[in-house]
Amino acid sequence: MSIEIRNLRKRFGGFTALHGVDLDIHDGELMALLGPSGCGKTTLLRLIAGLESADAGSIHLHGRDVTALGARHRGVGFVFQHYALFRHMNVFENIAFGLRVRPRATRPREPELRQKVERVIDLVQLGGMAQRFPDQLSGGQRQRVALARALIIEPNVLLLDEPFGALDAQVRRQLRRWLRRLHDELHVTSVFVTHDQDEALDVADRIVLLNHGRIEQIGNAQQLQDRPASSFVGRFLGEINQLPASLAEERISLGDSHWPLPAGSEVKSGAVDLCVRPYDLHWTERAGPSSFPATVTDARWLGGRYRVELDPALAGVPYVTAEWSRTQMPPRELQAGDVVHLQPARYAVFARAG
Amino acid sequence: MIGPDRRYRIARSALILGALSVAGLFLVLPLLIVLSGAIAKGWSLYLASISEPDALAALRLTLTVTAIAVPLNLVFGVVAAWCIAKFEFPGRSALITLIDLPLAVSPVISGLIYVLLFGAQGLLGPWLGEAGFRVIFAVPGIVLATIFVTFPFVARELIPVMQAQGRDHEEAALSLGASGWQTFWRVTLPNIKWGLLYGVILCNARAMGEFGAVSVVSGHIRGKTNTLPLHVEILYNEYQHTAAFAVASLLVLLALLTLVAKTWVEARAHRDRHPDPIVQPDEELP
Repeated sequence: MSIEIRNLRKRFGGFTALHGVDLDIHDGELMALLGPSGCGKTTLLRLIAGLESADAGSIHLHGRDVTALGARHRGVGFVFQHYALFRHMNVFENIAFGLRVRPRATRPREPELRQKVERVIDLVQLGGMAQRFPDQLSGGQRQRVALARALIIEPNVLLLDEPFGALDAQVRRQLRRWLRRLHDELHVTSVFVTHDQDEALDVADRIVLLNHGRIEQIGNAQQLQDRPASSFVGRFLGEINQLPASLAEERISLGDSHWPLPAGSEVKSGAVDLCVRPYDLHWTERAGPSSFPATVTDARWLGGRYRVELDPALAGVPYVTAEWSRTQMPPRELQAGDVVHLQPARYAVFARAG
Repeated sequence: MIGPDRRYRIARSALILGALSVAGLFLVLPLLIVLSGAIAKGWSLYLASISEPDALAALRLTLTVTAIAVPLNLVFGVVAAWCIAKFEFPGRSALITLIDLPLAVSPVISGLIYVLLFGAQGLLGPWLGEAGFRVIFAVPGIVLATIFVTFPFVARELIPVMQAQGRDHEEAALSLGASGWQTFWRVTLPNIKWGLLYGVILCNARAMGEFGAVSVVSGHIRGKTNTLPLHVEILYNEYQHTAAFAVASLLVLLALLTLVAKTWVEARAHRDRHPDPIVQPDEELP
């Protein structure tokens, strides 16, 4: 196990950033810490790096207890959101920094140091840029210098704080594919913080979803999307329809329609939210006990799928969204005002919030 | 009919003329009077006035005091600015206020504080006197008063610079294995060097020119505890106007050197912040 975190707590004055977090990150894994702002994801990352000290709990890196160790002695590579490159040093010296500050006994000699730096420069594809200063680089290049600078110390784990946050959309997408490939090449255990669910789904092996200083769910993209552990997870990872239903005797009721309670649900009775992804909301021609009627208000072709907005005539639900592929569409062209019957193919229920 | 463009130009010219004449009247004219007064009775008298033993002693004392006060305030200033900019701690805002105290208090009061502390009837004075150590009416008092008065300059220059830079650079250095000293010398100091130099120049200018606080603690002993500004006053009070202007011209010269240094630092700092850009679009990654 690369990173073992037990019951980690952190308060800032009156604000509790983390309430007892437990987390295991495997060797060579690329993990995303995902959550809305203020959820504690950056605090967790900084605690792993030793840039903040924990109030309680423990952190082990590769079996070694580092809880009381400062950032300097943890051997962790940290990439900052705004790069934090040393502006008065050129690319070469920025990358060489981690080697130059070593004690004399372990510091490589100049020729060896040059060789190492040049190898990392090639790795991040910045050949020919060694003499440039940070102000003379583009955002994506600066981010790669920051990455190279962290990699040269051969870190136990690589931590990245919103690594693509300051880049424009196109560069961001490119750089994250590139980071994924680099990770597959190097296999260094990596953790990155993001508030962008697409980024987490696109890059990470597993995702830790945090909210209000607690872990809501850990899993891969499919587990989080299809088997959310809470309505927060459902809502955070992609669009979801929330229908106010009631639950009694293992039966979910919404108007005149009923569905069985899915296995593994935690609620047993009372007011619940029936949560259905747009692509799990299928249509049927005829009314049935497990479908409800809805009037089409808008239908659009989004390239690869239709996105249909419908009015289900339910109190408190102004509209629901369904997404159908070309083959799932009704045989006739849908028009605003058409009535179809919607049937949730897969759904989850959670106790109604508030 | 006057168009808006024309009116704008008239307003601009009027404002520039106004600013220039105020600056000329209150800044340049006195300087010219000092210089012309200094050489009014010929160069030989000028040279004699500034090479007279008491004048040389005053110059030496001013340079000595400056040479002690400025490096000390440099260290204090960096430490104080570091604490305030990089850490949150109880008493932080009190410290910020304290740093500004010397600017808020009249220099004469600053001098009096030291007389009350170290004078013959003061709090620590008798005790120090027994130990054979004189502070008031001696060089140590002048140094202390100068340090007090010039304390804010370095810290005030550095605090905004350090706050703007945040802690990222230091944290990056630490995570790469650098020690505290390595981080300071290799990362923090290069980041703040222009602000620091600018603060030192201002501090230096004030240390050489300080009159009020030093006047209270010095005792005006000619050749011993007179700094340049005090010497100018004595000469003036004794109606030796030419000599007074001559010695004053030394202070003017030091001030002009300060201005040149300040301008140079500002230009360098600006160039560092805005290097020649190499336009660099993000390239395709294979």
